[in-house]
Amino acid sequence: MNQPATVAVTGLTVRHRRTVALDALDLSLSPGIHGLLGPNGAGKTSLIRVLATVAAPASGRVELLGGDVGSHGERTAIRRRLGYLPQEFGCYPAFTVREFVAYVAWLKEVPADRAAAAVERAVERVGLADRIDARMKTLSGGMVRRAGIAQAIVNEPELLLLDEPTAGLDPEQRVDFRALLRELGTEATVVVSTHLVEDVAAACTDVALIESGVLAFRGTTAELAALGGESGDPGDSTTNAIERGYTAALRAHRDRLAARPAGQRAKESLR
Amino acid sequence: MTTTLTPPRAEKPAPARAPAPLRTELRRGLGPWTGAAVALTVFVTMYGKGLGWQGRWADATNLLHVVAGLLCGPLALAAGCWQGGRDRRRRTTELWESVPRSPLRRLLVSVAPSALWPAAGLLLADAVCLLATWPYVSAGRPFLELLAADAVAVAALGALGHLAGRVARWRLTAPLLGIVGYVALGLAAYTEGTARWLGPAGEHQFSWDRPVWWYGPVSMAWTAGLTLAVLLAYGLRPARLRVLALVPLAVAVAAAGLILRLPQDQGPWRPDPALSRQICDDGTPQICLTAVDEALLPEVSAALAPLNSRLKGMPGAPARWVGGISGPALPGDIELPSPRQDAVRNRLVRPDLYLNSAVNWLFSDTCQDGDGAGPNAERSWAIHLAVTEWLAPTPDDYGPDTTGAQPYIDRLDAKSPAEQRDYLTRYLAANTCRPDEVPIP
Repeated sequence: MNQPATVAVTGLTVRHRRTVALDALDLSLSPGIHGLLGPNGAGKTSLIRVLATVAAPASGRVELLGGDVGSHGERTAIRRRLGYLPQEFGCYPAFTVREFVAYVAWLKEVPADRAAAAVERAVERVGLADRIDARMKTLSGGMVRRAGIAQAIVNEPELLLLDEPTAGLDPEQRVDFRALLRELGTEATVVVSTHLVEDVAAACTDVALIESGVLAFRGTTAELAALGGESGDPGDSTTNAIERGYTAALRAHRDRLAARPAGQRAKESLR
Repeated sequence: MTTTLTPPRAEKPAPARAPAPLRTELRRGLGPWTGAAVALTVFVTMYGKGLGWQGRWADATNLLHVVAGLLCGPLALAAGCWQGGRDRRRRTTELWESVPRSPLRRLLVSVAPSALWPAAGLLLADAVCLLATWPYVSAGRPFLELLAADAVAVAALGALGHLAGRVARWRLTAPLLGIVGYVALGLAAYTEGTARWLGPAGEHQFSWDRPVWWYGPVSMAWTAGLTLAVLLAYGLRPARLRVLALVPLAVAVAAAGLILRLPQDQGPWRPDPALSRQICDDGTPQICLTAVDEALLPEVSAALAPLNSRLKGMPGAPARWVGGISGPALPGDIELPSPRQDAVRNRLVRPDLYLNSAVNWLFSDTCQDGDGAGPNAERSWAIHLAVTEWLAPTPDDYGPDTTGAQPYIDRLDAKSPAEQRDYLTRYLAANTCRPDEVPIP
């Protein structure tokens, strides 16, 4: 954690109409693989969308890769170094994989003389090299997801945001994907939003647990596993340990909230 | 799924260039189909209109212009609208919002197939139709600047449809926009005011006219300027840059101002002396057509030959048969029906019908209210029909019932050639508006 922060979020609040999705969140991330865990509706996707510069926060400051996303010029520079796989990844079915990834490379302002090689490398890294000239509409759901990952990494981003990246991948591909994540995480800051604890256990060095728009836990994967305590079962896996830690962290957070004075809780609920 | 994420070791070298986004956009999706649909629309409509347009550049250009504005325009509008809704249907909007490429450049690349393919389809169809016209025209040139303006207008409608598709969320917007566009363009084309020359489907019928030289380029400036202004206003970020949209808007407004100053009735069209000059044969009576129909002169001369041989040297017979813009300018001139309407590829399809029409025009008098009445009116009409049928029988199933006129036809047939000429001279001298003066065969 001695490296400079590539993501620095301070007092981030995101509202969807009257609902508060993120509530004065503070978060700092450095290069590595960061798992973003939390129950459905906790605010994971809202956070990822703000980090992807797709959604504007209601308040707070967001600095990515040393730039302020609130500034138009800096935001453009950040986007060149950003990779993003949305939860609902869409594509143009008539395009081939090569054409689609090249299209994204152009949108990400990858220099034209490097684009062809960048496209091939990105497609190879997700294991779609043999289908690079196949139309997107001929791919299976898992392959489309991998094409989505390829477009996210085509510009070799310094900040990679993946929202539910393993949805649709079969177990073998998930294993390979985690290996790819580990490779990417050596140089870039990778944020993986997921509700699959095994993804976090296998690939992430660091975990942020979000509950109802606030940070419920922040620490290493080992620290989260330790929260769950020892299991009596000798065959218990790391995944199960993290699941127990996840549950324990959530409960502890809820207990802390419940222990606060009623007036403070009422104020927070009105924010 | 059997493939894994393990990268295979490919030996082939990387391509020198990645697929260019504009080329990809133009190759994939609805664009090529739209171009093909536009071209097919033109071909089917032109074929369905018969092939009479093949004889004159003006007829071919005018029909192509109306088809482009009235049919291809709404088609481009609807197809562009559907294409414009692509990002919402394919759920790519969010991903595109995270990229650094400017929204305007993204917009221009994605608009390209909506604008360029309909224009390309139209230009291809125009070129084919003009090539089909080329061998049969007598004079003038195709109005390429108007066809180019049509292509720009259709491209503009495609681009505007694309923007509508981006804004409107309803799936039925595209077909509805096509229908609304058809009605609006149709109303604009047939309105009486000068504003109809702003629309892309304003029709002009006179084949010996040509548009003023600046009308085509100014029309392009009008449609392209307006569309570019809307594209810039939509695509430019940050918002303060949108003021740049005022530049093409100013060009469009200036162009519209020029067009609106055209005369209301004739708009940009002016008679072309080279097209409207008379070309005459050396027969008696002489047959004169305008230069645009010069190639039809032998056909018309041949069709009228039996009549002319009867009228030759007869008092009261026409000195000249005159067709086209100038009409009967001299004493003794008789107006000819337009041969172009009955011609295909410079051949009169029914010379007998054309001859019959010419005879009817020969005997037509301009009568006043109350003329043609009286006890002998019915007899006068029967004699008129008899003389017409005797000179140029109406082909079967085309003309009126000749039962009442048959006795007079029989009497004319029974006369000697000298008696026939004598009667015809008297008939030509008579005022057929006064039934009592019509001589009985």
